[in-house]
Amino acid sequence: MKRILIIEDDEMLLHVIERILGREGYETHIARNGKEAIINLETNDYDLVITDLMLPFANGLELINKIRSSTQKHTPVIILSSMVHENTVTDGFEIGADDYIRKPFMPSELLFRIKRLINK
Amino acid sequence: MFPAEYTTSLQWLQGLPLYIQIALLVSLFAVLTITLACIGLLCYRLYSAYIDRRNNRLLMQIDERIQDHIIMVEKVPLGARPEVPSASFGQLPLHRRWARKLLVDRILYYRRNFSGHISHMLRELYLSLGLQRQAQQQLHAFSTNRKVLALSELFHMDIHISEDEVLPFSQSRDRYMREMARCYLIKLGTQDPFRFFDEVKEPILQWEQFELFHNTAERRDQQDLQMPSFARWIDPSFHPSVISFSMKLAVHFQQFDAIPVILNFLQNAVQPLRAEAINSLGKLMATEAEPYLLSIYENEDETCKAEILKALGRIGSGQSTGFLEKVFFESTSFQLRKHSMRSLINNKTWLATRANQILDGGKAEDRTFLLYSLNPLIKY
Repeated sequence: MKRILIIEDDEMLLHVIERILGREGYETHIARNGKEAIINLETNDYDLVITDLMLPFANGLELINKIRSSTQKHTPVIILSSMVHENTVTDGFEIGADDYIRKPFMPSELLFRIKRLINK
Repeated sequence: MFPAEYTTSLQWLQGLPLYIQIALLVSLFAVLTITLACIGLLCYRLYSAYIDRRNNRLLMQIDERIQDHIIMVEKVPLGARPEVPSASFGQLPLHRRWARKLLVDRILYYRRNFSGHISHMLRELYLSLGLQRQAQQQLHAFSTNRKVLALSELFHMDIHISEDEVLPFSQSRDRYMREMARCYLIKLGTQDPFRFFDEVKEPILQWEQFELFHNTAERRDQQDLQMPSFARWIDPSFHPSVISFSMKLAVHFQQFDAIPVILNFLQNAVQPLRAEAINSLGKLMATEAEPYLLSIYENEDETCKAEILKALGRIGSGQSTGFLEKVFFESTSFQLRKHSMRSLINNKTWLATRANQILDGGKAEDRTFLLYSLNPLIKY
């Protein structure tokens, strides 16, 4: 079973994504802020990480930077954010994100992108 | 008047010195006030806790239904009408205003986060439960705040109402009302959504322009509306902020028919409008504007001069390289030297010939300007 870490500070959205991925047979771990995400990343190996950008304690870009300099540097990362500014998107890719999905998003699109990155 | 035993007590009080009487009365008043405040606070907290519990209970039911019947539903096949689960939501106490408000807030929340068929089904649900009626009624409320909230709800739910009803709000004295109405007209207007430009009396602020621009771009993407020619509002009879915003829109939508009317603004007395006109001509790459720009350069202030230099670089016809070089080598202004160099390097022929000469044998300061301008990470 593929293991996915979801990092999102919006509690409701976090649980909806968790349900959607759970239904597709993924094992999901959740983190509500940067601190929890770092603890999760240090204690578990993940097949994919989905992260928001605006997070308490450590933002999404800092987390991606951390992932890319850790032992999980090859783990695919999807940014799921409502920030649509061109610089934010390019910064995300420059720092090492594999994909960027803008909110509002379609769950089916998220699932397709997850499958594509996990099977790569 | 008082029973005998109280009268005796009061007589005892009357026997005390006046300042003691006053102190006792003040103390009594303070104790009573604090007691009442504490009781009030307690009641308020109990009431808030009750409201929170009641709302949370309903929110749980709403979330459960939305997730089970809308989000977790498999993707609806293309062309098929999604089945709206209004029966399941009909079990909620929607005859209560607070319950309807909670449901509407939740629908708006989910629409902010999900798009596609989920967003469509949420809108269908909203309509099938008749939740739009309350917002439509609130448009006639006395309070402006209520009107703004109602219009915002209709805007976010893509509910069409008569444009004649919304148009007066776009000239409201309340700036939130104005902004919301203008955004609404651009997003959902069908007959000339920009006609509120004709009536603008207060400036369209930068932030408002940003919002309107965003909605205009989204509307263009929907491809359900032919964009009007913004040259119509590039006329001195309209508010300066409308003229300036129309120039930006004409540039964004590459409306080259606006070039002749923008050219007229090169002689305008309002400096920000002249600067905007020069900027727009550059972005529209109006080669016919080049001689005019060169002719007005000397009499302009530094801001407009910088805009002219930028515009010449964007037009990039190659006919102004001599002028740009002259400005670069003779000007003492840092800004003008920087912009003339940035415009010069846009010309590939100049870059291939003169740039190397400056790098090899030019003055140190000239080389610094050139290297700075060649850095793609420095935006201008």
